Amino acid sequence: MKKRKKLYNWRKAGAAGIATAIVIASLSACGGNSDKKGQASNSSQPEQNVKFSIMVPFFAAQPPATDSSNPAFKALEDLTGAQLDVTFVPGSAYDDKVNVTLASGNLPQALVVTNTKNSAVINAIHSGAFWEVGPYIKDYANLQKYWKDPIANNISVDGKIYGIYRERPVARKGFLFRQDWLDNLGLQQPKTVDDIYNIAKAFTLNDPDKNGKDDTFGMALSSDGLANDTMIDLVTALGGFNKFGIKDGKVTPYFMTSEYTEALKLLKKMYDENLINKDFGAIKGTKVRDFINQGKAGMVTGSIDDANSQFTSLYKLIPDAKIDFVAGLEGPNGVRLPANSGYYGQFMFPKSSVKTEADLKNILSYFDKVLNPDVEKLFDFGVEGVHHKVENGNPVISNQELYGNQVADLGQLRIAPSDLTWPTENDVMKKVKQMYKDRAPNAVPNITEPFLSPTQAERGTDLDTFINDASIKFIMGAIDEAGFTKATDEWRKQGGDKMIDEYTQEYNNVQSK
Amino acid sequence: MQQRSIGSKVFDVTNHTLLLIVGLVTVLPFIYVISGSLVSSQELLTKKIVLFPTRISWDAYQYIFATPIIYRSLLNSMFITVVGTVINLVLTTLMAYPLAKKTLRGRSKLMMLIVFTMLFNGGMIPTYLVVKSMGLLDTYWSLWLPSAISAFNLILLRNFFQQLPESLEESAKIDGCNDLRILYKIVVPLSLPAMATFALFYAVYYWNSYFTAVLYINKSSLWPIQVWLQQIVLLSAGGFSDANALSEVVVPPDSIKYAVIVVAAVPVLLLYPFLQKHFTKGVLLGSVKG
Amino acid sequence: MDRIAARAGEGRRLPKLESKKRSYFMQLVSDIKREQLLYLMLLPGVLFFVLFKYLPMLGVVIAFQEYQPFAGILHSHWVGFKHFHRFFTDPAFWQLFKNTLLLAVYNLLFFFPLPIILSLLLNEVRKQLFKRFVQTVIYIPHFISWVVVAGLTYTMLTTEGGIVNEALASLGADKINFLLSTDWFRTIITSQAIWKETGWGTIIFLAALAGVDQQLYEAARMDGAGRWHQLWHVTFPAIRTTIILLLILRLGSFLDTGFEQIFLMLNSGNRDVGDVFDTYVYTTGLKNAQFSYSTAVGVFKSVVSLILVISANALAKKVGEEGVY
Repeated sequence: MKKRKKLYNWRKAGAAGIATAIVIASLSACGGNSDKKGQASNSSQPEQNVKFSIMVPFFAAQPPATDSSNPAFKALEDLTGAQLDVTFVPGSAYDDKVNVTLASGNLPQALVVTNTKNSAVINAIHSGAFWEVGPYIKDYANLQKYWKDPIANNISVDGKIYGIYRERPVARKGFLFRQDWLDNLGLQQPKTVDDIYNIAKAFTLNDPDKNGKDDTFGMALSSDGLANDTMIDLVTALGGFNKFGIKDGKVTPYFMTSEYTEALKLLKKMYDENLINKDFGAIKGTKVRDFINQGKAGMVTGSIDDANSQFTSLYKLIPDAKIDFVAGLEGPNGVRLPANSGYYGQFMFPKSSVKTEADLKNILSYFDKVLNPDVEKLFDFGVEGVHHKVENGNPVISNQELYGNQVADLGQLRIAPSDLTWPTENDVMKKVKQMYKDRAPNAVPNITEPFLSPTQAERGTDLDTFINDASIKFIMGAIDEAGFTKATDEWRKQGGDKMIDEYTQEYNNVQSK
Repeated sequence: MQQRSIGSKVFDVTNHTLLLIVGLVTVLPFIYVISGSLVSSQELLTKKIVLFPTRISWDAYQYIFATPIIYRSLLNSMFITVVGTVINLVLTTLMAYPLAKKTLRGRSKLMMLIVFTMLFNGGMIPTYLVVKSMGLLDTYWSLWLPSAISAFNLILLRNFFQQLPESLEESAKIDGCNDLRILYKIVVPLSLPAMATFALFYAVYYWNSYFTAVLYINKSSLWPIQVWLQQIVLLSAGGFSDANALSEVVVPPDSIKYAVIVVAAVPVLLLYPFLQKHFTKGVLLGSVKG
Repeated sequence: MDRIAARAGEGRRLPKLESKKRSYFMQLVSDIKREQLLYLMLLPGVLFFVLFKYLPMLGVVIAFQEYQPFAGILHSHWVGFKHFHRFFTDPAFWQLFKNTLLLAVYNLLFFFPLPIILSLLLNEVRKQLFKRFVQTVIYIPHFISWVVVAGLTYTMLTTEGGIVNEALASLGADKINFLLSTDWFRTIITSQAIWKETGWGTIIFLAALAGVDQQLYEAARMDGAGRWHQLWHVTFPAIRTTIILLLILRLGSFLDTGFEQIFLMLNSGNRDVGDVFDTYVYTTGLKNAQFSYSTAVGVFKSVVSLILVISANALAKKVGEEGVY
């Protein structure tokens, strides 16, 4: 009875608006907390066995087993007191699977939605298909601690929260480079955009690998990396926008700013001076890292954690090679880097399968419990004696293969990225995690991230292609500045202006609140 | 007489040379793929083309076969392929035979309706809903039934049946054979090259199918091997950039991509010689010198 | 009385067509009674087409809706020809149409005849071992996925140390940026298709050739026919109907250029000639779950194919061939 009353309160609070919610939250937080504490201490004995179905993507070669043959999965169920009926779907087919599942009405009780702007999902939300979970978060101690309003804002639909986001570092983009080449040439790590150019030039001309041959170049570039990394890295460093920003009270895309032109001209100069691979327009995806792994190129843009995982071939080829990175470069507005959205998908809870509020609360308690340190440790290292051993009180993975098969992709069932640091971790990863924290305040968000634009949903990909193509052509010298302006005009005409209006409207709505 | 023989010889030599070139052009990249699966990733990275690895490394195959579940899905694939091919062949033959009869009333209308299904299709979601409403989800029937007859193969098989001399069937009919018996005893044995061809087409279709399995089957223990193989290829092609953060999936090197292709192709390559027997049978009879 | 008269009158006034129809059905029923087994053999196939082809085909109505998977067909809004209007008025429409058409024509002209020629050449080989070797080898490329074909193409054609450009450079010629060039795009795409699928395409013709009655060759030789003569008068007629069938069926998927292959080769340099309906549907439709719009584009392609197939079939019948139906 008591519980129900509280639920009722919460619902009312959700309806009454954010201000009241905060007040009520601060009032009832104690009650919620003490309740949670009681549960947490009893978590070893599953008093209320939560049983639910859950659908997530996986990205390894195969999903981990979800039966008693997998000790890590069993440990997860024991630690969270939940019985999970997991459907793993290959990452490449995940969005299709979500769409057919939505159409069939046969939804699992919790599912990851990777593309939160997917119009099929937005429509389902508008039809009341999913629980609004925003008001419940504060009932759970761990979730409340986990909750970050900027990220929550990004997944919100019409200002409401319909899912639990899976957090990813915001400050993650940067320049990765050959530290050993810098040392060979007596150069410092890049601090400004000019440094990038100078280092690229030195890497191309000054024989950084000391083999007496002219067989190196400055920076590896790819066609999709240009828009996703390189351009926003440079433009934000120069003081510009991350994709979109506010100029004269209007939402403005970065390619309509002087900073973009400046960055574009710099890349053109680098291309003309052969500091960039000439075929970058024909390269997509991870192929760009091959240039680094072959020992040909000295620099690349990407996620700073790539330094830890993507260059093993290089180390085998050139044992002395060393990759280091910087996140953010100094410019007129200080050190700046483009922010990521801060999440990769969110867990959503369909009303058709999660019938009652009590059911929802039970399921949410699972997501609360996966944030417990012992569960986090399980996701990171697996089971002691099976996947890891303990050295000087610190876990060390002992069976990499088994860990890969049984533990790695269980991580799809968690929400927070590993935040626990262990002395046994390698130096690169330690620095990466440090940077995630240190650089977060310097990350420039894409201000349109939380907004919905019907035009963006309808033709966004197409319009993006316009600009990316024009940028590549400009760098390669196929079009000049007038040609680039023509492309932006075309962009505006074919829906860009409408998109700007829609975004500006959304922006003004938020500002006026 | 003499002249023709010279012309014939010239033709033979040119023909052989031409076919040899064609064979080389197709086989060289495949050798490259095989070698690529056998070299260390460093060698593959630094050298542009490796036709003969300096040192053979089985790492890529070890990676693929490291997990026990791969054997299970290999068995799944074989089961799906064998049963599926049999179902498809039986159903296609059963339908093609009456359609090959020129006297069959409604034949042309039916054919038109069949061709129509090749042009218009409802797409992923409606088909999924039909499969679901028939209760086929999570069973192999969801893979077999919705693709039980390929309109393309049906039309071609009907064409083969039509080219058989009608006199054979007529005499059998006079002997009191019913249609099913004629089909089984006369038509099918006479159409072995065609049957072998469509067996191959269907088998390759089932062997390569991956998306339907992922869509219709939730239990990963029932998946065919192509699901893993596809996942590995996409992984090495960098299909999922954002996902790497959490699970820290290390992108497998290209050598694994190549090993995957070898693993996926070899079972069908092994199947071919058995079927090839039937392709060349007719010609063998004719090549007896006389 | 009146009624009977009226009925009789009705009977007299029955349009010819209807009586024809009725008699057609009467005959069909009597045929079915007579050839029970034959029609029974059709039944599983007919059931299959009804259940798994025609039932889902009803789904194309979403081309006239604002379809949302969660709402379903019954509860999605009807929008008439909105999506078709958007498609036809898209500034890129004619460009896409031209690109698709040109690639399809290239495919038909340069790829379609090759399996036929190759199987005829193979048929002339008398050394069985050699024949089997070539036959086995040429169909291997079919099993190499497009991702890898694209990778191999890059390795050969890139300006950064690609084999072809290295060769050009060593000959003193200028490097050619094949991959980013509008001039080379169709050639590359068609060549890839030829390399990958020609061998596989021979299988169906070889099966047709295996069915040729060897006595025909014997008879031709007796008449003193040379090899060309035999090829033209015995071998070719044996596969002619197969060729015509395949040609008609190819027209049925004329505007399907294959998504994956083109998408992998597409870049900012060649998009002007490389963007086709299939890639357009992917970027504008499927990526954002715009099912209705994608379906509308699909319906357009299907209608074009329908017209092509009907015309081709009529033409085939006119010249005395059997056609598909």
